[in-house]
Amino acid sequence: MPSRLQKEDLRKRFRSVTPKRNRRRFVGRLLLLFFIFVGFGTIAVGLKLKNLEKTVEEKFSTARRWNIPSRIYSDTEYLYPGVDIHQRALVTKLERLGYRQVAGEIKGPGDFLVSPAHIDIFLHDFAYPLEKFAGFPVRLDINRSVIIKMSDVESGETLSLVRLEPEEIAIIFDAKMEDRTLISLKEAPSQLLEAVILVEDERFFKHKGVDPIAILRAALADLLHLRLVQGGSTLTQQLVKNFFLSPQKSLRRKFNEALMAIIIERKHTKGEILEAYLNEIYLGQRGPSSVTGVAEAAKHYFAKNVNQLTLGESALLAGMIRNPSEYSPIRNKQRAKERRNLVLNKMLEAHVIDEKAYKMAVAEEIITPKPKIKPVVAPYFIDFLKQQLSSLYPQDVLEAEGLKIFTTLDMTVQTEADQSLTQGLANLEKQYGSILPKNHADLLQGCIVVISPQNGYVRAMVGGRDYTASQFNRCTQGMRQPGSTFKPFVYLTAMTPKRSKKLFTPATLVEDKKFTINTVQGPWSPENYDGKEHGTITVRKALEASYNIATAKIALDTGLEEIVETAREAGIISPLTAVPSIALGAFEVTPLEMAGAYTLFPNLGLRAEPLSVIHVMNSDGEVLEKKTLKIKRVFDEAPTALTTQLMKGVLDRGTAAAARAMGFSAPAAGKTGTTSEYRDAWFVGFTPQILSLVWVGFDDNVPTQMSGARGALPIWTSLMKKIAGNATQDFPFPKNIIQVEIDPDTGMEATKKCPKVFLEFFIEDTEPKEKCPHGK
Amino acid sequence: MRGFCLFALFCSLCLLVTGCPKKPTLTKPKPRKPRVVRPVPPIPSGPEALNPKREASQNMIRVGEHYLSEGNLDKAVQTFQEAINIDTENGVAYYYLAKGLYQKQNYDDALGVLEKSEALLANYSDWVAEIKRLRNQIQETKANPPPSLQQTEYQKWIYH
Repeated sequence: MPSRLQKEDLRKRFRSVTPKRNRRRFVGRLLLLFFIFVGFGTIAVGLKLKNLEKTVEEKFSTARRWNIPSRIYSDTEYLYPGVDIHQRALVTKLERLGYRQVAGEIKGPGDFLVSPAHIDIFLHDFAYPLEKFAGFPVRLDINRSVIIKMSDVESGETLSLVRLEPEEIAIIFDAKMEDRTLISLKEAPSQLLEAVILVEDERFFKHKGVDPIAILRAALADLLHLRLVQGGSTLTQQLVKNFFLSPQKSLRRKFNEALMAIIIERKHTKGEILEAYLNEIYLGQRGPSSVTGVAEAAKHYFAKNVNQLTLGESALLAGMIRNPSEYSPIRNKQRAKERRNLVLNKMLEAHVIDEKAYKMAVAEEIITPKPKIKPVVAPYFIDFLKQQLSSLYPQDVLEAEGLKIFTTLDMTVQTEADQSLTQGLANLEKQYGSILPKNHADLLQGCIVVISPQNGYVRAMVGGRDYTASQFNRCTQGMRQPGSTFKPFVYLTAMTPKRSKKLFTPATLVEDKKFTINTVQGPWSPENYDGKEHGTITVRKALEASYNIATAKIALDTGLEEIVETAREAGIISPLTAVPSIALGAFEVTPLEMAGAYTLFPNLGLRAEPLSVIHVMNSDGEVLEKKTLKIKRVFDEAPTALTTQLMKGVLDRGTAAAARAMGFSAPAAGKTGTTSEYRDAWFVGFTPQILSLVWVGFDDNVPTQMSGARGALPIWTSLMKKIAGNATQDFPFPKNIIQVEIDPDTGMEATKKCPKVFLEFFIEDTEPKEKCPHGK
Repeated sequence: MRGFCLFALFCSLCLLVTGCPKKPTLTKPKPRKPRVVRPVPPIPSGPEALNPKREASQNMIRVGEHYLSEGNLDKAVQTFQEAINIDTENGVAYYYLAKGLYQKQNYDDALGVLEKSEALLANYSDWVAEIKRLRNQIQETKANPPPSLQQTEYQKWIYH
């Protein structure tokens, strides 16, 4: 056994010989391992950095950093003396446009003031196609709700016309649903920049993307309060987080955020970073879409362009960045005020503003526009529009290029049409619940199209009673039988000398007696809706009372091919066959097609092609698409004027006389339509200036048991009373139209002895030559 | 007495002769023209500023004319279209729109719009003449487009 000494000796000997070589080897290996680790680490970090740099450059350095949604606008509102502000719902319109009602006086763009004698409006700036409009204050003098004078408040100059900018009716977003208006750094007011930097990143101009001092200060504050009270992220880091990364909190994300912030700071100037930040920052929610960037937020919260913000508003916007929903002035004015004052105080302490400016800003009242009750308006019209635009611009272009699409939609008319349909259908269900089918799975549906017949502008479109329940647009996609609403085209053909095989006048007599005709499909015999025969009647009576048998006879005498030709020229593009039943509207059309075809009546034979888009403008203000009026003469003036006069009789004495009883007194013409077994109820009617069509029915063609007069006419009347009022202007006549007194029973010229006399319209030289037989 | 009898006979004869009905003359009754009424046009469609709407539309036309004279055709056409939008029955606005479209070499649309103008201004002889002149001009230019619009032989060769 070795002694203790020997053991010590052995140990010493071992230490002195073995370790020297082994230690060197060990250290060498350790060093190698370290270098390998460092090497791989460097490569990995390098690759990571390269990768991050590539990501940053790919997204951040491109000219278009964001997808800018396209915006769809309504038509411009024109104000001039004589306009009834109640009829045009001016105050509601101003609220929809984001104007803010103030008391005392209007101070800046977007303010309006209502007093009994006048309305003052500080007009917004607006970029119209080919024109940039700079807002100014106007005064509208009012007498009994009618504008009597308009003037520029600043110069006192009398104005003959004031334009209210188009309303934004829809935004075409990408999947992110970010609503954003881009601005350059130059456009942002300096007070807003100062406030943002002061509140969010005081040392913005001193750090290189990451600020260790801020991190330390935040950590200390958090420790002191034992919770997260302060963030240490720089403005660049916040930009990186919003722009490139997901909102999830993790160390890995924080690490990437810091690296990317450093990369951006190396590659871009502070100005570029600040501009991107102002356009990227999230500032709240508007329905399903987010309010992104200070310019959009200025519009949303203050109805102003960003360069029009006051000091107080700038301070509030900067203060809202931390928690947009908590400090939203729309949700809580008091909390917003406290936050604004805190920011203002900070600005005063940092000598960014002086005492006087501070006091004025603190005293500012926070005025926000009335929030929009209905974020989506005219959804069926928008769908129709998107469908039209899809042939010109692919969906990704619409979602990203920030196009401005100017339409013909009249928002006042659209709102009225919406209300009239919803209310009208509810009334029908209530009033005629007993005759409507029981336990029907779907609700009664309807649609409304309103067109300005002179220029073809589509003024309103309601494709159904509830867009959220059904997106099927009954105006443009619903193929329905027009029934008797087609009859005016039969009568127009019959009274056109150049076209009809036998010329008819309003006084021509026809037999309303049952007959049968052999057709390719078999024998056909038309019947009247009342199931009766009415003997010998005039053409006028046949249309006013909508007699089927008489109309079928007129059609057969006129020529079925000729009627098809008329329908085609009027703009009906759906398939049509020259069969006898065509006279009674036994084919399918869309309501929009029908409304478009009817424009030739108030237009004296000219057809104005329905227009829904007028201009498309890109984000640089360049006009990409311009639509001009397309008007074409498709018929002679005289027979068209005669048909219109017959349709006037439909409202004054015929199947639509209930409209007069309901209080609609303006000169108007129209035609009811009911299809077999009461599946569809129609009414198409017009004044010289506005045409509207109403259809009511079930989507699955189940009979409603309602005629056009019962189902569609009340809705039409309610709408026209609001949009046409009780105008007095009548329809125009061409020079070769004359009026002659006739006996309405015989259609002959009236004598003093005739018991009944009617002043009938004729194309000159087609008037009756024989006197009535009474008293002979 | 005899004298008296002769006198009485003479008087009776005279009475007999004068008392005879006159032979009726057979003339055809004149055809009576029916009482014809010419309906009055409901609203003048000319340039007269009969209401503030027409006045506003006329002012817009003046702005459009200015653009037209400057050669800013796009803006002119847009302005005339706005004038129509304000007052859809202002025949003069349609005339100027047709003029603008013609200058933009959009002949078919110009002719269509001119039809509307003609329908609205039918009672204004000066305007009817002006419309006729413009229509002839458009039709002539459409039939013989200016050299700049005609394809040269080289262009034809390139395109085909």
